[in-house]
Amino acid sequence: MAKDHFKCLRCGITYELEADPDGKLKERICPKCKSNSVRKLKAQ
Amino acid sequence: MEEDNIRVGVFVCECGMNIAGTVDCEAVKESAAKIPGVVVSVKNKYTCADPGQEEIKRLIREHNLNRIVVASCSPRMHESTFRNCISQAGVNPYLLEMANIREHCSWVHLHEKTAATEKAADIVGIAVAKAKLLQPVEETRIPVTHAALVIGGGVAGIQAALDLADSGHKVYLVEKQPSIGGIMAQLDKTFPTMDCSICVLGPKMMDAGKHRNIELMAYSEVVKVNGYIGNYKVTVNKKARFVDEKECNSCGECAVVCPVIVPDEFQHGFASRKAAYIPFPQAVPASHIIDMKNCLGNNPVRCNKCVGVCEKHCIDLNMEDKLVELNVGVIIVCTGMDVYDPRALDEYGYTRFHNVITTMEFERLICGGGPTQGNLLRPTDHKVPKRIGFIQCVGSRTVNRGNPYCSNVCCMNTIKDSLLIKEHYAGTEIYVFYMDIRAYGKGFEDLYRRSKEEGVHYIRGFPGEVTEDPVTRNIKVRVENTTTCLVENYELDMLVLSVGLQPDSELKKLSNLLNVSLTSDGFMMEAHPKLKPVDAPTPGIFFAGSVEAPKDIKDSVTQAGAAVSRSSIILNADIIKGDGVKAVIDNSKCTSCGVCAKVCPYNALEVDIKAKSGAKVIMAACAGCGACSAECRFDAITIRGFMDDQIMSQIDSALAVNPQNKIVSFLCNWCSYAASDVAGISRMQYPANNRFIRVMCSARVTEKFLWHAFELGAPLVLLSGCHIGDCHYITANHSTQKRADRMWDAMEKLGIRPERLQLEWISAAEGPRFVEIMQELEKLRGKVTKEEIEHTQKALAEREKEKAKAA
Ligand SMILES: Cc1cc2nc3c(=O)[nH]c(=O)nc-3n(C[C@H](O)[C@H](O)[C@H](O)COP(=O)(O)OP(=O)(O)OC[C@H]3O[C@@H](n4cnc5c(N)ncnc54)[C@H](O)[C@@H]3O)c2cc1C
Ligand code: SF4
Ligand code: SF4
Ligand SMILES: [Zn+2]
Repeated sequence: MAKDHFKCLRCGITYELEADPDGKLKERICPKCKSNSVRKLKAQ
Repeated sequence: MEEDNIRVGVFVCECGMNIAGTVDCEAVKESAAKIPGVVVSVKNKYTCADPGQEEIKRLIREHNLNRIVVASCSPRMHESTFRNCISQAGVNPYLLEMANIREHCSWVHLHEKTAATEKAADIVGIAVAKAKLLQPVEETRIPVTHAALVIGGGVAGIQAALDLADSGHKVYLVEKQPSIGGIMAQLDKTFPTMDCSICVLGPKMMDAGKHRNIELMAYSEVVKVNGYIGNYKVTVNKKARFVDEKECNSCGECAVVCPVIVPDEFQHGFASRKAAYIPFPQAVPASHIIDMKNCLGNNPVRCNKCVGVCEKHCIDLNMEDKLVELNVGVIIVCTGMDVYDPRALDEYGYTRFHNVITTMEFERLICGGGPTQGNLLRPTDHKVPKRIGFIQCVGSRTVNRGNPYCSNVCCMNTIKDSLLIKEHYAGTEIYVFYMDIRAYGKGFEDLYRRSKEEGVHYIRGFPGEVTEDPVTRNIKVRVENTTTCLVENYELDMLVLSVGLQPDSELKKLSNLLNVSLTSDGFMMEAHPKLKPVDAPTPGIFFAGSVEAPKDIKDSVTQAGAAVSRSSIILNADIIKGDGVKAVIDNSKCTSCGVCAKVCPYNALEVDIKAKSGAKVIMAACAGCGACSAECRFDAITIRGFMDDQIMSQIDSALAVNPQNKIVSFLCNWCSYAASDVAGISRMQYPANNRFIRVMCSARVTEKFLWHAFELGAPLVLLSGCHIGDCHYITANHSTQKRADRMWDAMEKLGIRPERLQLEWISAAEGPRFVEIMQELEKLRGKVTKEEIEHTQKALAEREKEKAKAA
């Protein structure tokens, strides 16, 4: 399963999630601080 | 208007002690008076009260004021009051700007009087900056087509069509099946009253079929929708029936001679029908139809038996589908629901054991008009079952297989079924396997009690194992009874799966045509779940019945009444007035690239890319979100009431003094701004360094605004709007997210920390979250150094130079 990588621009953590096969836009929520300032990082 | 002719009046409200208790209103009034363009600045005890409003009108006349700033409470509270007030004094209502110094200031900085006064003066300054650039706006006036389209002819659609038609409106009722009636036409008796379903529904179907204001289009589907509230243009495909429905008198001779026999879908395959058939005896239109997939009439052999036997010559095997154009003012969607297909949950044996059936199939077996004339016979040996089990929640309330929600009607339906069985076959043993019984409605608990009194066994627990005795074809069920904590075994003659309900499989397609949203469970989304429960977010589109969520007949009919009443507001008007906040195109800049049309959630933009004739706004359809304006790379679109220069001047004003201490926040009117109001009303406290700029939608905030704030030395900028899925403008905030992504990439390239642009989705209810975000932003602001700000400004200045060189 492909993964998407994210970085929270509030608390700074990075995390990954399974990529949505439909590419549908979903709300991003930092699992640590609950901020939506979550940046999708370019594929690594 | 020339800058010199701008005459601003500022009215600072004390709101009793609500504002004056924290903010030095005299100082705010004085500071406003010094702003160029401000002709008069006064202070009132209560500006919204009659004397306050009279003073506004008097000073407008005395000083010839043409722009008004009221510094008081939230515009969400009193904007309409003051717009009304200034229009009475002859000033265009859109020449008003409100400065929210109560919810955004005095109430949230109760213990910081100096900072609060400074902030209040800034808020007024920001409002004056915008007010000076305001332009008069005329509300749009939209003529209304006096006709309605109802899609779906189940009980909800029939009721909606009849109510509208009875009140004198022309109605087109479009049903995709050959007959109207929906699920209710297939039911035997209905809970909670236990009355005969078709006896209640049949007369209504007939009324709908012959009402002079209703044009029934059965066996038809909507294939295209254009237009907007008051003026929808709809294309309907009227599928070929191969029988002239107006001439056919349902004598049935065609069916008698037809040699083709296929399973009857209305009887769920328990009976058969011909290729020439009528869906069910009470069908409306009361006409036969030829099932061309199975007909031998044209292909491969020419049969034509039905054609020969029809004395009225109604049959035309060469009939073709016909596209029909309709013009309507409103659309009511009543396309109902589907029943869950239990083949996915095969541990209950539906695909393997013939004596396992669904509740829908049960309805046909127990119905007097069904394949067994109401004799409940089990499928394998056609004997009357003596022991019957029901499993509840099949495909409902499960995250993994089926649907996560409760299907609302299944508990009551099983209770009804248990009573029907007892009524027909008193000695039958009945076992209901359930998680909990939901009998919440009027008369429901009574029915449940009656069922238990009749000796129906309710066993709390779902079977873990369902097998079949290969000889008797009986069904063996093993279940852990969670009340007694014992594993119990039952041998049953028949097992009924109480299947859940789910959105119609084609609802997604229809929602795309109508440009309306669905909720995460796939049903129709309301414009507001409490205050607009039958309105779709797209104006002029309503819905009723189980297309919104699974519901019983009474609730479906109630919703139909509500949708009719909402539609009538539009249909009863000759002209409807629309808000003045709309997109405006500057055709001298537009390159007809078409980007705007792609992002508009309302299809309100028409761009002929080939003809290069420039984008055109369909004013009645435009909701004013501003997504188009922010995406246009040629600055060719702006939004009346939220023009680029107005917002730029607000940013200038917000950062005019000590920018390094200020956070600029863009708040959307419907969610994040509403949340900031809630924080104020609840007197929640947060740091006073934030300066808010209200936009209708976060999608309006162009990259230009964000860069401008950084150029002026903002340490931090917040972009905020409604949660994804909750956007007041359907999906406009998707553009906001994409824009933030682009900004973060661009910032990084320029050596600017992306962290300095924050993005938050805050619902109107999330006052506490708003406050927490304000506190967190203040911590982030503290980490931005003077050097960092200077570096940013330098990098942006460089970028501008390079752009200029390239140009
Ligand atoms: C097994 C079972 C038993 C039930 N028993 C009871 C009961 O005893 N009492 C009770 O109150 N409720 C009962 N209900 C619930 C009841 O059936 C619903 O409340 C009712 O059918 C809802 O009506 P509706 O018009 O919203 O939808 P539906 O009945 O689903 O009708 C929708 C109509 O829209 C048509 N349609 C769909 N898509 C399109 C399209 N794209 N274009 C045109 N037409 C379209 C469909 O063909 C259908 O005719 C039961 C439901 C089930 C499944
Ligand atoms: S995005 Fe701008 S330039 Fe492109 S068509 Fe729309 S208005 Fe014209
Ligand atoms: S994107 Fe928004 S503002 Fe632009 S035309 Fe569509 S509804 Fe109007
Ligand atoms: Zn975080």
